Amino acid sequence: MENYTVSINGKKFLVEYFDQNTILINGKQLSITFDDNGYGGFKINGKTFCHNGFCKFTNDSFANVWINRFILDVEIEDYKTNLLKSLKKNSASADKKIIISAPMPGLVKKIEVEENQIVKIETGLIILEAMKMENEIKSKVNGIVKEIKVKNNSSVEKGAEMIIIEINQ
Amino acid sequence: METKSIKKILIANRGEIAIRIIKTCKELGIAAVAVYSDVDHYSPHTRYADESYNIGAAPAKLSYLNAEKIIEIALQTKTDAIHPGYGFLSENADFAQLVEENGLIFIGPKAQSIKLMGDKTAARDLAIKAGIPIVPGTTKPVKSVAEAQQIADELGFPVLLKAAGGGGGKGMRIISSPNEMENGLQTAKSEALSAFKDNRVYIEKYITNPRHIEVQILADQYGNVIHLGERECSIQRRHQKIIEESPSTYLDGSIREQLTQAAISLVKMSGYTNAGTLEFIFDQNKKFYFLEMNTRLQVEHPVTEMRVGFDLVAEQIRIAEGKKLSFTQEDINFIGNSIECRIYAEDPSNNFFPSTGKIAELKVPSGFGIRDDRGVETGSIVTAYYDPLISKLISWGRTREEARKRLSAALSDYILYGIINNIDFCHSIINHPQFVKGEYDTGFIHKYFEDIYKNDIPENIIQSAIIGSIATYLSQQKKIRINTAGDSHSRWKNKQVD
Repeated sequence: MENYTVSINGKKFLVEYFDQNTILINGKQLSITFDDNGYGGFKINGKTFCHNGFCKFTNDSFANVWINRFILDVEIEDYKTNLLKSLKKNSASADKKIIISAPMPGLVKKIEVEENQIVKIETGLIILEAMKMENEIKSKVNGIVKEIKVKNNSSVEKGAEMIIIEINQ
Repeated sequence: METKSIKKILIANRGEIAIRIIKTCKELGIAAVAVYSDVDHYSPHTRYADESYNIGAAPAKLSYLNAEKIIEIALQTKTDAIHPGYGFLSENADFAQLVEENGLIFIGPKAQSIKLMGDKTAARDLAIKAGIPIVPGTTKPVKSVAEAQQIADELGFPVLLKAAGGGGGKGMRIISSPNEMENGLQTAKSEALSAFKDNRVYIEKYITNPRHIEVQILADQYGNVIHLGERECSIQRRHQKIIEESPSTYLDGSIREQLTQAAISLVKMSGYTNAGTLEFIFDQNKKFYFLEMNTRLQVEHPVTEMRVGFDLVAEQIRIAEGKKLSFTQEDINFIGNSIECRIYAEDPSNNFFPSTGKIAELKVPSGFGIRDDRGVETGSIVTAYYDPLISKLISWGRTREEARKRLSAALSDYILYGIINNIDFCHSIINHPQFVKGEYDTGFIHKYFEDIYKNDIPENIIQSAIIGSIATYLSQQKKIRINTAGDSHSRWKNKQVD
């Protein structure tokens, strides 16, 4: 048996995994039968809720799950990811930096801040043009702009680091 | 007037609308030529057409906006006519002109009509002459920040900056106070320039939370103009429509008559031909103002087709051939209700940011009263180069409630995996009590966002997500293997797609 903490859209569930036919969610035992048809369907306690589903991990522990019209944000933690997370947390709190990366590929239309500028929550940082719309990326923290890693009119890929902000407490 | 029969059409567009137009061509026995950019090499519209040709690199200005290249292909392929779809070159008068100068038929209005009605400020002028109320504001583009400030002071804040050269929410900004003017004007101008090659911006009084209702018209080259009723498009985010329906729940018989007659008189006065849409806004006292005219086929035209029972693209082609409208206003029968949801690749939880990626699976609902117009398939890659619209799901019912429930059930059946999308968001909107009652305005999404977004997820879906994600997690670590039947398409295996 292995234990996991699974967050679905931010809500945590304790999952005890016995085998692929038996798991406990928050202590409630569910018996599962997977379909063999390749669509990822399964029955829970004999009832079909999911006849077709899809899961995509964006890194080791974060995933999106699609089930019909629903898209859920999932985070899976086991002892290993918990350990890694606590290590990361410690190093993050040491230098208190956050990296603003591009949420989608696009063109940097305007950089609205300068290095060493003080920014507040909701301060506009960068205007990114994608799909013909200009999208303003705003600061989610109070802090100081430490580094700007992009230039005006440059293209960025999804996930590219654009601005580093040192967080003020 | 001479008529010319069209045997071959080049569709200067991509995605769902290209496929939509090709479908009509097939029905009418007209050959269809598709064009595509580098990233659209494998897009379904290229295979659905009879012929297809590469017109350049991914950015629209190097391909779908490259008028010369498109005309060159049209001439090479001995095409009779060009259908521009919506967006891209559809409201570009110079393009329409160039098409005609090359001896081809532009399936749409004449270049001078696009120039007149497409120029939002000139159209406002014309409306004043036709005695149709317009939203208070300028009929000329603003020249400077100082001038804009002065006009805004006279109108009173908030004001709306709008692109003179086109619609679709591009180049549009609400300015609530004087200190927002300089930045707002700059952004509106630069957005307008990149979307329409035209940075002129004008100012209107911003009418808070109006209802957005538009009238579809058809006009032939013999002065016959008819209307095909209204569409209500008040459910919007970022000034772009998400849900449209016809008829509007806001109009009664006499206002509908006034509205459609205003639309017809404006069209007659301008000498406009082909299909067009006149957009109006209604304030809280049911007083309406002319907003602008879209001189093209609209995204939401299927809502009208579902009620009138004929194909608008086929009528556009007939009119372009120089034929008379084959029916009069009295021949049009409006039957039942229709609602459309626009399925976008975007994240409602993250300010509706567009999302990109590969479509891992697409299965669209079908059945009586359901129509899905789309431009993608399983395996398609959604890029950041073009509009995030992936599909339009349209329902028809004998009553509004029947259409609404049908659409709701269809959204629940819609499978679009691998890409963040707004299907559940649309489902929540059309099931919201205010939408059910038909009592909503353009402020709806903003006002009820929390209600709509925090739609409770059923327990069995949460359980299923836990099971599916744990199964995937474990199979990634090779701890278990599910679906031992040897099927390589199992969903809960290591299946990262990017």
